[in-house]
Amino acid sequence: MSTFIQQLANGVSLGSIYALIALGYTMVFGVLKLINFAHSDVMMVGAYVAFFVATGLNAGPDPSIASALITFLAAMAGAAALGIAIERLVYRPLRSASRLSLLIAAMGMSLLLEYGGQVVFGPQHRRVPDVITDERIVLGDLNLTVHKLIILGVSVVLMLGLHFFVNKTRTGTAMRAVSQNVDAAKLMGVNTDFIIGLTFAIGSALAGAAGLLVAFHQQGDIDPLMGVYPGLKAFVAAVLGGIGSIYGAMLGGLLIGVAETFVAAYLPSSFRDTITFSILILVLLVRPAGLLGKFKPEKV
Amino acid sequence: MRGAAIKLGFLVVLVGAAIGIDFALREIFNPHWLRLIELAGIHVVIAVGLNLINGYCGQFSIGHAGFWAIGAYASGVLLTVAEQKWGTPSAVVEILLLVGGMAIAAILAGAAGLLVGIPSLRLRGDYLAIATLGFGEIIRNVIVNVDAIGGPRGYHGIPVYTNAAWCIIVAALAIWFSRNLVTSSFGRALVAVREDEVAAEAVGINTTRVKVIAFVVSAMMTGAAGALYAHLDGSLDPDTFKFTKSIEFIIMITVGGLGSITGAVFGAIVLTLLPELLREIHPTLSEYRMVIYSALLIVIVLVRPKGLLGNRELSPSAGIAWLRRKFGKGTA
Amino acid sequence: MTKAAPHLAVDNCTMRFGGIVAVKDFSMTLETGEIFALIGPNGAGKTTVFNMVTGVYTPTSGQIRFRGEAISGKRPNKIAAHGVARTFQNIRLIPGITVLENVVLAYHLHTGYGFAGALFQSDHARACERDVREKAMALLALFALDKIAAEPATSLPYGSQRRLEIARALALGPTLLLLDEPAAGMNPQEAIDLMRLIRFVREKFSLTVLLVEHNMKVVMGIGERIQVMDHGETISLGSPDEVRRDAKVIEAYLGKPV
Repeated sequence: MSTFIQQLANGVSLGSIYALIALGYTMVFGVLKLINFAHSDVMMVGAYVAFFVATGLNAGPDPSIASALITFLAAMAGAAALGIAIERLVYRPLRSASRLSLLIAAMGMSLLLEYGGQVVFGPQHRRVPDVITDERIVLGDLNLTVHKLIILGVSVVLMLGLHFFVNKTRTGTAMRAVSQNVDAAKLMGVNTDFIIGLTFAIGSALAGAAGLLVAFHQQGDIDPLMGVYPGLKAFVAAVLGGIGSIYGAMLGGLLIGVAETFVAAYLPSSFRDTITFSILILVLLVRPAGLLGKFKPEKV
Repeated sequence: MRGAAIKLGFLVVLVGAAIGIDFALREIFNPHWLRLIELAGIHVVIAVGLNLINGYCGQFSIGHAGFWAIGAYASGVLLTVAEQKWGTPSAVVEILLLVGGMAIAAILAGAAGLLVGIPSLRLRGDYLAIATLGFGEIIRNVIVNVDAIGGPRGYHGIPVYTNAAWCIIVAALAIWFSRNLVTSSFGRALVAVREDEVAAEAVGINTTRVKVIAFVVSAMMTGAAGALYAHLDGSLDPDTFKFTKSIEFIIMITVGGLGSITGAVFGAIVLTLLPELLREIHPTLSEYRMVIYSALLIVIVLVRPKGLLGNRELSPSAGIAWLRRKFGKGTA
Repeated sequence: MTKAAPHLAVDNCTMRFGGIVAVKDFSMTLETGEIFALIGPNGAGKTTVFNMVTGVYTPTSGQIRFRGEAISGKRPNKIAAHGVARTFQNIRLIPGITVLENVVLAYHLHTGYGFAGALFQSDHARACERDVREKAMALLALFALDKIAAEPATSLPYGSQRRLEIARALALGPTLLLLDEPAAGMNPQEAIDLMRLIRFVREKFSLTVLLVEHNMKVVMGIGERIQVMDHGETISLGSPDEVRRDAKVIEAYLGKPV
């Protein structure tokens, strides 16, 4: 029983990272109907921004709340800037092109960031200094760490923030309108270009934060290809929850994180990915709209 | 009957020419370049196969690395066991073994294609793409988890049978089969499914059947290419078959032009040889291989969304027609 | 000697989409060889009936029989193979291929060679291909489209695209032709030509024709029997003259007299 709760806690911590990344996939899919393959690599760049800032702040030997905050904000800002740039330079000119062109451009962008990252940052693994000292926390049978709690806390705060933004602000309403119907939103006077850019900015900022959290999760270890598999898992989470649905992404992320942790705990860990992709295919076949999504058939 | 005789004649000429070219290539190129040329031939087979489903039928697969892996491991393991049992084969037996290996590779990959295709092809667009990606990764995961075929360490000691002649022959056959299919009633059905499924069904086309057949044929070609690959280097590494490889294949057919056989051939050859050419120009350029590829891909999508050739074909008759249009106006 | 089965019989069909009832307990019978028009105000459910007959939708309840055989619930391609051909309200030609290929495409079911023949391009397959192309050209000639057979289909002017879509439908070798608003977007002269064309193909190919149309000149001009729908239900059925005089029809189109 105690290992069960322990695994659940680990799973929720991992799952909240997936959820943060999944939000970016799902938000972009909402407004552009595009699987933004480059999203996970934006997360990687966020992690590298965190690495450079934290190293510059000399946070490793000297962690403080201030340096942690600055590192987080820098990772989010860097990722957001990159997301906006990608949207502006590559996706926007292709908005009237076929969805296939857009998808291929997204794949190209993803590869460019991964291999460009290897050239710019170097292919070797790096270690993000601890912006906050990691300590073990024991609650009864439960073994937690400061980093795991931070992962959970930051995710919850960011997700609540997104929830309020989307539901309680005018801009959030406009964003929901654009994801319902771009053309109708435009006719209603919504500046769709701005909203789409903003969607990329917010999704990428969340990914940037996730980049640092992934680093926390793997004891600071990062590399230019670190986004590939977490990105794929997060995408599976978005599909599982119902792509286009913000709450679906949160739910899907948690479910995938928990499922993976349990599989790794009770089965050989090499089965982990097989399970994740099997879940993906099962969901696609049985309920292509995901748990919380709506499926629209083509009108003849 | 006459047609069959002509085709047989062509096959004999093709085999002869391939062997001749093989000799010439060995004289001209060092083993490193020779291997790359052979690899280009293998990539041509895959690109032509992938183009059938992605280009002509419009069903986006990002799982072909999986079918490639199935073909490679099937033939690689089988012929390794065969050689362990019966010793080094004579030249004639070696030919039969490789043909058999390719056949089995194609059949197994085709069976996997059927297994993947029947459920997934109900999905559209991005959903299909992501389902095939998932299947491809599952295939690789299974390989990694089977210790008998080396698991994560890979499979080594495979007999090396592949040479340039084989690659040329198989690539030429793949191109020929593919051209025959796309110019037939089946090919028209492929395009109809790509452009408008509702209209296609209204004229009696069983869209599911067309998609599944295209998918299986595509997987079979890729599987046969896998057999050639297994016997090229004599060893297989499961990391070769990651989904990024599937994306590389997609880049090949996109650069050349989706829905054009010549485009697929062109893309496969150029993208296989380009990194080495870059290295010849300047050593550090080849380190940037993937950076250049991906940037190239983005630029092509932005400025020539239909690829370098669009969906046009380059053939002698098309060339003559082009020349007529270009220069014939005054004389007509 | 029992009476021959009607060419098409829609029996008590209902079509629900979630909570919306698009077509309610709808029946319709077409006799072999007639030109039958289905009309009604926008949203009356005409296109839904069309889509049920052609298999795009499966009726929630009720049955559809084509020449006595139940077809409801079959897939569109199966129903097309039975001999039910259609055109679309928003023309659906295959872009990127030529006028000729669009028609050749519809011979798909009758090309006479299989996958292996195609793969190896057998002599038989080549002969079949030539044969199909000749047939398609002959069909195009009837519609005065043979001169532009090599043009990309979607580059044709609107009226020609409509004709091409009808030609393509006929290539299936149907006995029942469904035309979904064929006169939409046509000027009066084009509409008159269209009426002549519909009568001509009916005679030439011994067809039964089901027509959904908004253009009343066309409906009254060629419809031999007319069924009027409103809100998913039949409100009138009869000859053009009977329907024209029916008070319920006038009310449906113009609203209640004040």
